[in-house]
Amino acid sequence: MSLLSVDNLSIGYETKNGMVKAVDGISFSLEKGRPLGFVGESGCGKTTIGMTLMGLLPDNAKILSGSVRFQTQDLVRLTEDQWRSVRGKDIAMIFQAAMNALNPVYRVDDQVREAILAHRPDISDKELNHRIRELFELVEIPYERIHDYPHEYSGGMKQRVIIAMALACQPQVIIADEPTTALDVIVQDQILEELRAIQSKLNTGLIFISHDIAVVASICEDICVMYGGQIVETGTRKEVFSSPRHPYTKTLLGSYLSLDNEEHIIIPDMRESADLTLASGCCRFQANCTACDAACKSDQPTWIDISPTHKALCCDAGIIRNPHD
Amino acid sequence: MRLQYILAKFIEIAVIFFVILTMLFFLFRLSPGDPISKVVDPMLTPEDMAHMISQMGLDKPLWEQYVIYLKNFVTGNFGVSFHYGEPVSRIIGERLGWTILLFTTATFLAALAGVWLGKVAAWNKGKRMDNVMSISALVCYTLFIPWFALLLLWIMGFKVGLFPLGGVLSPELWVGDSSTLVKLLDLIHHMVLPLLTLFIINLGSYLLLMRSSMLSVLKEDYIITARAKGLSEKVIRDKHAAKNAALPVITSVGLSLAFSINGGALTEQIFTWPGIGRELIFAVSNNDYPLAQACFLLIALVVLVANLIVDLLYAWLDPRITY
Ligand SMILES: Nc1ncnc2c1ncn2[C@@H]1O[C@H](COP(=O)(O)OP(=O)(O)O)[C@@H](O)[C@H]1O
Ligand SMILES: [Mg+2]
Repeated sequence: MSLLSVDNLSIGYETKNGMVKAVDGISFSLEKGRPLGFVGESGCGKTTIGMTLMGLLPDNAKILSGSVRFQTQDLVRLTEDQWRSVRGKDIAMIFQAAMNALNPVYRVDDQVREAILAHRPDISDKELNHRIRELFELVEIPYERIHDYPHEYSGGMKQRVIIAMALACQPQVIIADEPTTALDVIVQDQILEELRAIQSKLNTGLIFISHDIAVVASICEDICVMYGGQIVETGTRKEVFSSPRHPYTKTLLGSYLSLDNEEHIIIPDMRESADLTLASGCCRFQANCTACDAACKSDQPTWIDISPTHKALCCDAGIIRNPHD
Repeated sequence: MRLQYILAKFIEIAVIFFVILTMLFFLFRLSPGDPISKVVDPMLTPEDMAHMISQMGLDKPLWEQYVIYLKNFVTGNFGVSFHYGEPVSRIIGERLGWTILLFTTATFLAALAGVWLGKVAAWNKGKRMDNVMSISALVCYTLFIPWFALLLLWIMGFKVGLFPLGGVLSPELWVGDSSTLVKLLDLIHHMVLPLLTLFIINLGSYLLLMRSSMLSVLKEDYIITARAKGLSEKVIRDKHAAKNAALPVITSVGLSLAFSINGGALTEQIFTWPGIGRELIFAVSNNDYPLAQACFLLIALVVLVANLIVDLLYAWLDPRITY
């Protein structure tokens, strides 16, 4: 059985201009020890998915349809109290190492301690200290620095603390949302290496979110390519990378010159951004698609299988099946 | 906290105070009119006057007067009040205690209540509780002090007759041999109205300040981080948000204490509270120059010390402040 399975999930944001459908009917499942990556340009709904899995959507968000199965529970139906016992314990999130993801007025180790105590209030001091030492060792922060305040840390060290915090209660699912985006390139590589090592050591479920397809490919076995709130193509790393089928995936990879050129940042060459107010289920990429024809405007795209693991969402099966056209 | 930092702060305020001391000297001596009449009571007999003049060095050149002035300051000799005929230092000493008692009590109570209510208002943003609290706070904040003080005095003191109309003590209780408890209750009884006035006026600004500070803290990333750990809403509100949000309030408390002498003069005047502010108004309107000069010095000193305390407190509470 999958660790986590999401079925036909749609999420909207209430805004002044009506409902914005940030996530439109996506389905995926996460297996233990098989990191799953979400890639797509900024605004395609990646964070919204992550926040849904943590039960941390903002007040104006609404889950319109779908289910999120974790163990025996449907997370969509949890009450706030039930969520509190899932968050951090079963499912944890690694946030972007923004300026202040750590509280500036508390010591770093106390903030990690708090994450453990939230779910294990009766833990003995001895065990707690032992666990803290273990966690900081795992993320390679020298023990003598753990009493520091966040502002005394570099960006990379702060990100390590955030990773340690997420690992604190040995969650089964870890969601890493752009964990390296705010860091400079060298530190980025170190953190990725660290995440990779931790993942293979602890063998947890990992959902890795990034706008950078190279980063996703370097860490994930399976990849979901997202555009405008929909998953448009999904497959193993090799399938998506070496034989992309969806026009958007090709655009994404095309603007990403080569795998070796690691410093290249993807900026897909789009005429306009996705229209999130479109009716559900219709193709959201049509305005930017080079292969778009009249049928795309009226028809609903369907999933076209390429292999048992590789499929793409399109109105035109011919385009998907014949990659060299 | 490093000793060096504290020391540097002390030196800083010592220097500023010295500058103010000097400025006051020149202000009082060089302003138009006979300088002697400003330092020596014109009502004295000619012999006494001559004695005073030589004691203050008024017959000497200006720089020598300045040296004497500094020496007098260091030894705590601020001259003799024209009106009271008593050493200024003794008068100030008596009044200062009353001012400190009234204003620190009012400010701390208002700050505690404001922080707590502001926190609750922000947490319930947009709900009715928040609207009621914010609007009431805004009303408190914009109240015209003398009007409000007089209104309170008129209703509670005069019409209802629950509280005395002014002063700090009922003489009959203090002359006789009443117990300490009775005296204390009498003092509190006198304090209620001025305290309430200051409390309500300060409360509004602290509540609004805490509310807006809290609202911006709640948008910070570390609040999401705290939620993601599975912490309870109460812990998020009180431990993660409120502690950060209360930092700006500390500055505001310091400033309000700093300006309590001159800022509170009207309140003291209305409630005939025998504090420094009222004494200052009295000294200025009666040309009691020695007394006025000492009051001004005291105001400067209070402002500086309050700022020092805020700086030290802030550095202690906020680890990001480097010293
Ligand atoms: N609180 C919100 N209110 C309204 N719209 C939002 C809100 N948060 C995100 N959105 C919109 O939802 C879409 C998806 O956002 P997000 O999930 O953050 O994308 P990503 O993480 O892929 O950059 C964007 O168009 C964004 O503008
Ligand atoms: Mg995002």
